[in-house]
Amino acid sequence: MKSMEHPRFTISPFLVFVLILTMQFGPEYIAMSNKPIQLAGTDTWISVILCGISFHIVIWMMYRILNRNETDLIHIHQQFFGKWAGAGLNFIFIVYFLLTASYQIRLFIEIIQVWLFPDLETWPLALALLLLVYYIVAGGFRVIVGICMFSLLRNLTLITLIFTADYFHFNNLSPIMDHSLNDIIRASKEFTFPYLGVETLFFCYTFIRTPKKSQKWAHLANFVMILYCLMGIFISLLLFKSEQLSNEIWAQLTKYKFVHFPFIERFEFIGAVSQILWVIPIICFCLWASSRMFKFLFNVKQLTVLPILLILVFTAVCLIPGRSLVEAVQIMLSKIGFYIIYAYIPFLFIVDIVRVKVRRTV
Amino acid sequence: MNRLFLLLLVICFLLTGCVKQQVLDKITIPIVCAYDEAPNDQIELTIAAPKFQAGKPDSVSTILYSKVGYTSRNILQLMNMRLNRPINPGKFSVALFEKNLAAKGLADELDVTLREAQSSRTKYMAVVDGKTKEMLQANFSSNEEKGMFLFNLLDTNVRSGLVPRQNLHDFEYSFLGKGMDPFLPLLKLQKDQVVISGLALFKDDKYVRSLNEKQMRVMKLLLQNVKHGTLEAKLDNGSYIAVVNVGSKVNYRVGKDTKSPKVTIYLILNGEILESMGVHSPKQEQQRTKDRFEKDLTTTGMDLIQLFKKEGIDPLGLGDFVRSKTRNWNEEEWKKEYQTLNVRLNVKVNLLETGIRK
Repeated sequence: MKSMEHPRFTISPFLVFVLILTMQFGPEYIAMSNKPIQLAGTDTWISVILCGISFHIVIWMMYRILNRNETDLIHIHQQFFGKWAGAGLNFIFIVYFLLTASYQIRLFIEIIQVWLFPDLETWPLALALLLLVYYIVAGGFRVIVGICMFSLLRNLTLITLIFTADYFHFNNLSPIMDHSLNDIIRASKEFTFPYLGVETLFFCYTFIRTPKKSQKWAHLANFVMILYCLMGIFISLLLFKSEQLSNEIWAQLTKYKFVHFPFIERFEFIGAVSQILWVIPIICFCLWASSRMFKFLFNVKQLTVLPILLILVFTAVCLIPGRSLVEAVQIMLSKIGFYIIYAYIPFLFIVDIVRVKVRRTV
Repeated sequence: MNRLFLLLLVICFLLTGCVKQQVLDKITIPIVCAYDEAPNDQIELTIAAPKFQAGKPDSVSTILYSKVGYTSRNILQLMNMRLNRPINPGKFSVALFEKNLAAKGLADELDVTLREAQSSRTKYMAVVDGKTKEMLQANFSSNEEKGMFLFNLLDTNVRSGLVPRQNLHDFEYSFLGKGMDPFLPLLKLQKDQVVISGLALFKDDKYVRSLNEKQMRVMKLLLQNVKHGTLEAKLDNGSYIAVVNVGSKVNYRVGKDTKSPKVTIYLILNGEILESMGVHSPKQEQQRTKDRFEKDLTTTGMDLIQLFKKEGIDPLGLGDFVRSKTRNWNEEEWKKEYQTLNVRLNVKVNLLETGIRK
């Protein structure tokens, strides 16, 4: 079954690199170093690499499934599990994406509230952001990829971290392998949340012009993501003691506190606000993907269902009051994401192989 | 439809005035805050609020406000009742602590400043010998704002002087880090002038004792690679000689076997003779001068290390260093071992130049 989109809506394979990288490199990274460093200490960088390699394997599995069926996950579900079970699975993914979008918006608003404007209400900023998201998503998939491209500007804020070098303590990196393998693996489990985002491939597959050629770009994106994570972890290790990190909520934003310019005394405020570049592309993609699934589930137009989803996300965002609930949502999402990556995708992979084998014998 | 949404989006920009505004002319931005001890576990907070005069941009005076209370944020709030412009705590760059308060522990004050998003992580901290309020009342800076004066005093002395760097982040780092203890510069008021008189050493977050200026000098050499500062020594014939440090390197090594010293500190100092009073041809004297400097530095350094061991404090971070070289390092065991730790100091002085005269 061929279900590729019209070439007018497709993107070139190399843009998969930009798309996957922006989806993976979400705002979760600002808090990623706290927990794993408590577990694995000086050896946390090994966990980063281990987790990254496991994601390479997952990407490879995803491409095997997608290339064999040549369609996206929405249709694969219906082919594999029938109409009703497939619809149910699609619905789970809709909930997952909507929850991710709500979490990302709430996290960004929380950062703004804590760092800049403590008296800011949640709803006005959520409203403004969601209007922006509507405007982008209504433009279609290619516009979302364009926003992903635009968001690469964030690397400018990461470059400034070079100014923290004055405070590096290099003996925080040794001794190497001081922790048990068990600790290292538990720490790498913590890293699945920052690495999440490759599951988006399942939904944009049909929008890639020559999808089979795009696999190397997806792997490259994951590789660059490993480098970003390593950079974050190394700077955390060099700057802080693990006892300090256990007190921080957003270690990455605290790092910006060391950056001073003659024209900007406090770079951390720019660092906090620049999180919008991490957040917006992900929210856009989540809403695009979930509205697209709705389109196939209920035979409605994508643009009619989009405002309804936005209102849902808006209410969800307003219902999350503060830190404790944001954290609860985060834990829940990281659990769902963990099972999607390490349980559901391998499961699909096996089902796919079995289907092919069965068809051959018949 | 799309246009309508774009319009709505543009309208959102009109909402920008809806949060609390802070106009620079309508707030007070103090730079220095000082903590004193007060009865019943209270603290007395003193801030020096800069006062600008209209029409005279270069004349700044400071007005002191102080108040006693339990929490520093509440004190600031109460101070606002005496001010026509409310205080904004974002620019505090120097925090002064009275010696007696520091002896009780600084962990609470540390938590306040580290919790606040607005506060700087690289602000300087210092311990004051005497009441901080009295120090701020003194007229020590003629035409500069007092907070700015203190900030520049500490900043220049850390960057190109004898004071080892220890700001808020470094303090927390060595306070929370295992196998290391923090220290802070010690300020003193001498005849209406603020002087950095030495270092205040801490055990965890509690002040224990102080070092004088000579010990501080050696301490800085042992802590980091330095490229500035002078050293002075008395030669055997009674004349003095001064050497400027053009680059010193410090290296820590951990001995593997039990016979050799556990930690060896190698200090290599490249100097340039600056003053050779009474020594007419320093070139021939060089070997003796070198020996004298090496001996001086070694004795002062070893005395320092003995002192640290006696007090049970570790401002050099020897414990942290040994941790980075041994597997399964344990803080409790280290503390027992530290009392009898065998540390050797190995100093080598190279005199490279003698200025532009022979």
